[in-house]
Parts: sequence; C-alpha cells; structure tokens
Amino acid sequence: MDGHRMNGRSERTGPTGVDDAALDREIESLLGAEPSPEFVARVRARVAEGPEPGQWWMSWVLAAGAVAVVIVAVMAWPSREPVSFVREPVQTARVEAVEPVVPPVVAAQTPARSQPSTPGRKSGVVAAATERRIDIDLPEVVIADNEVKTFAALVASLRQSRFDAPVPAAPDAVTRLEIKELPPVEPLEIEPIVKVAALQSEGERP
Amino acid sequence: MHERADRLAGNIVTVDENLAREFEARLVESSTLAFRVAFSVLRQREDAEDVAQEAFAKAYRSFRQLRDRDRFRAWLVRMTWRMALDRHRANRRRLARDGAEAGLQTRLARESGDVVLENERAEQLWQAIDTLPEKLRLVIVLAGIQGHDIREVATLLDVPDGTVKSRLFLARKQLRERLSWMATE
Repeated sequence: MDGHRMNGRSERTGPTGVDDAALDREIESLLGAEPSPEFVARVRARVAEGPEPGQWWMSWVLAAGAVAVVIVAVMAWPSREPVSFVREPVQTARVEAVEPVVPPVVAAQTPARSQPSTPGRKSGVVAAATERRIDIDLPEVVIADNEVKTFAALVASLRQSRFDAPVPAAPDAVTRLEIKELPPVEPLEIEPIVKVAALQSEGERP
Repeated sequence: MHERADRLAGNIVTVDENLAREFEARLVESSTLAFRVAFSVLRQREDAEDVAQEAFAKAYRSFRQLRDRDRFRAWLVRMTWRMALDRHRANRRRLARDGAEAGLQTRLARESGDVVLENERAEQLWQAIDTLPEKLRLVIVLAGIQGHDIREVATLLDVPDGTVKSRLFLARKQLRERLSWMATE
C-alpha cells in the first residue's frame, strides 16, 4: 500500500524546503480530526428517522401517477372553444348545390316546404359541423330519416362527379320524430320613438 | 396459503435485516472517512458531523443500489464532498450577509480551537489547499485521509490510477509554490 503510494510521490524539495513526504505528513495531520464518539450513534438515529431503503421512491411514484392522472383528465375534458365557422373551400364548393339544410324542427313540421337558398350560411354550418365540435347548450338536432337518406345519396353522387338531385322520399309514418318543445319566447317590448327635434322644427311642442 | 405468506414475510424481513446489517458495517468503516472529507472543506467539527450524517441518511435511502463496498464509499465521498461545499458556500454567504466576512478566519479558528488551526503553519497549509482547483483539492485530501494509496483514491473517484498520479503531482507542486509564496510574504 505504501509502496504504491510512493510511486505517486517524488522526493522533490520545494523552495520552502518541504519535500513531498513532509507535505503529505502535514496534510495527514491536518485531516487527522476524529469525529465525536456519539457521531455513529447520531447517524443511526438519523437513519432510523428516515424511510426504509428503497421505499422512499414510492412517494415519488405516487406523486408522478397523480400528476399523470390530472394531465389525462385535463386532456380528455371536452373543449370549450368558441364556435367558429371556418369554411373549407373544397367542402363549400360541393355543398353549394345542396338543398338547404332545413332546421329539423321545421323539416319535421313541414317536410315538403322549400326554403330560399342561403349558400354562405349553409356552407358555414356544414363546415363548422365537420370542423370542430360545437359545445353550446342548444336543443338536440333531429333530422328526419328520409332527409338523411336523400342527403347521403346526393353526397354519394357528387363524389362520383354526378349531380342526381334526389327527391326526398315521403316521411316514414312508423318512426315518428320526437320533437322537444322549444323554450318559450318572452315578448319583446319596444317603446315608441319620439322624434323631438323633428317636431320642434315643425313648430310643435311636445 | 398462510404458510406461504408467512414464509414470504419471513424472507422480506430477512432481506431488510441483511440490508440493515450491511449498512451498519458500511457506517462503521466509513464514518471517519465521511467526517474527514466534510471536515477538510468546513473545518468545523459540528458542521462536518452534520453534513456526514446527512450524507449517510441519503446513502441509506439508496442503499439497495449501493450495497457494493467500493461503490458505497465512492458515492459517499462524492456526496459528502458536494454537500460540504454547499454548506461552506452557504456559511460564507450567511457570514457575508451578517457583515462578518472580515472575521471569518478568526471565527473559524476560535470555533475549532482544539484543532490544528492554532498553528500558523497549519493555517497557511489550509489556505494553500483552499486555493487548489477542486479536482486537485479532492485528490490531495483523499490521499491525506487514512493513508489512502493511489489505487484507493482512484477507486473512490472512479478515475484511472494515472489520473490520480498526475493530479497528485500537480496538487503538490501548486501547494509548494503557494506555501513558498506565503513564506516570503
């Protein structure tokens, strides 16, 4: 051991007259401090206060698991983004020729009635429906079965570069649509507008 | 079923007992090493003991990965050294904040009055060691503790023997230069 150590130590002497061996002895005496007799006992007590070896990481695993659950819950929560009508050019071009998307309640009440075409609004609705989920508190949309089939046939024909313009079949009398009642509309009261300036200019007093 | 559970529980207890026994052996053989490593940085007995205790507590938490003797001692030395440096810096910051930086050396000497700091020569040597780069300082300290030879220091630092030799050479050279400069001051 000492022999090995001597290999790393040259017997050189510096300007202060200290050779390596003397320097090492001085350093050893500097570092020769001993811990107090109670030191080992205190270490034992401190170790005994802490967790068992290998168990301390369990708390970290539990904490990481909890964080992962929270992240998954946040990601799975339905988005609350505002409704935006983003138009997709391709979809809009194809839907232009489609019969207007009739609101379900109206369609169910008057199936044969046609409405004036409003292409911008239609394409907006369709595009929005395909774009993202609209999460607003609206009544459930119900579409008559015959209209769904007609629309599907039209889309299929357009995909084949044809335009068949199918006529909706008669509504199925067996499957009745369940139409929920709309919330009552409170009557709007508008006060009459008095044109004071106009009356004064005409020489009348209010 | 119950027999099997009892046997399993018995095995678990045995494993824990073995761990505790091994750790006790490591503690007894390495307590002075950890204390001296901390003392070489802090030069205060109480602080050094506190840091060494903390290092042992950390070592116990990771003891399943540190059951090998050499690995344990190397880990303990590095951890103690790092923690002692942190404590030393914190002490200096605290003293500087208290406006007592000027009296640091006086206070250190007073608090560790039973140690070699009373000796002016020893104080010079401490100061010279403090000026060494960290790598050289750690090598010279470990070589000066418990008569460690080059191979033992290399094992503790997980570096080749040649690296220890060259660092020891540089450290001694710089120490001699520093001490001679102090002597002529």
